[in-house]
Amino acid sequence: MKLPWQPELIPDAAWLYLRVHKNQLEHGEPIPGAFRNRPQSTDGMSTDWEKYATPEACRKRARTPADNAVIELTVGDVRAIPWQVVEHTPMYQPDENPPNINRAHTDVFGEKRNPEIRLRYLQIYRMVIRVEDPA
Amino acid sequence: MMAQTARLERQIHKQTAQRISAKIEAAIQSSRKMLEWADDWDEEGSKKFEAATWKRAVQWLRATARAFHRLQGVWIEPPRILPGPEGSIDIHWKHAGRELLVNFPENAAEPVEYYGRGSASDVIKGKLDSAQASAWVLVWLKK
Repeated sequence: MKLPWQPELIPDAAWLYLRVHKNQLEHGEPIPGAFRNRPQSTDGMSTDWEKYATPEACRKRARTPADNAVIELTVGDVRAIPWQVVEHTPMYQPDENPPNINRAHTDVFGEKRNPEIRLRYLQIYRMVIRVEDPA
Repeated sequence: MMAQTARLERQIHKQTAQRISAKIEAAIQSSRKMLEWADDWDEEGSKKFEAATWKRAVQWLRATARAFHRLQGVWIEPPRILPGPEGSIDIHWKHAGRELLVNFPENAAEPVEYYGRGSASDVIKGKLDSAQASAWVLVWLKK
């Protein structure tokens, strides 16, 4: 299906929101394994670009929003980590059940299992919604 | 008499070599819970963890902690044993401004990778043999 929006170039100053499931939190903070590529989409780390999303909207896209925290990352910081590529990948699949429509969707492609990469992510994130915050 | 003493010494050495810090053992046992998680444990499609991956990680941890104890005479603090990406297991230590992350992949044929950092110029990284104790990484951590 043709996208109603075109992918855009994301500037370094932009923010990305990333959901972190409660199984990837310890004492409320993300563990290194929170930074990983998701197998079911396009093998990127799935995030939302703040131009078209809010942290609350990002959390609501989870199957169980109350089980997820939301953190933010600046695009420039992400691009400074080896092999990480930030690409706007909007989703428009209205016929899916439930419909998958997300103009903010942004993939961060590149290796994630490498320990250096994930420790670098732990240095740059900022918590925006804690898991205990009301959904 | 001398043979008896030698036998006794060997027995004591063997018992000491097999011992492990109660705190490390508690961390290991507590980490078993991740083996009960089914596929999609993060609601984002992540796969479940294989017992073989966990065993490889904790065997390395026990062997490395014992080797460090033999070298330094003290036990290392227990690490966090955590779910990693793609069915892998992470072992993560933080100590006095330094941290060390060791990743055990699900596929035993792939290398175990580690990365440790203190200050910007104080970094160690590379690959480990999970079948061998690697006390030197803990010596670096505690330096």
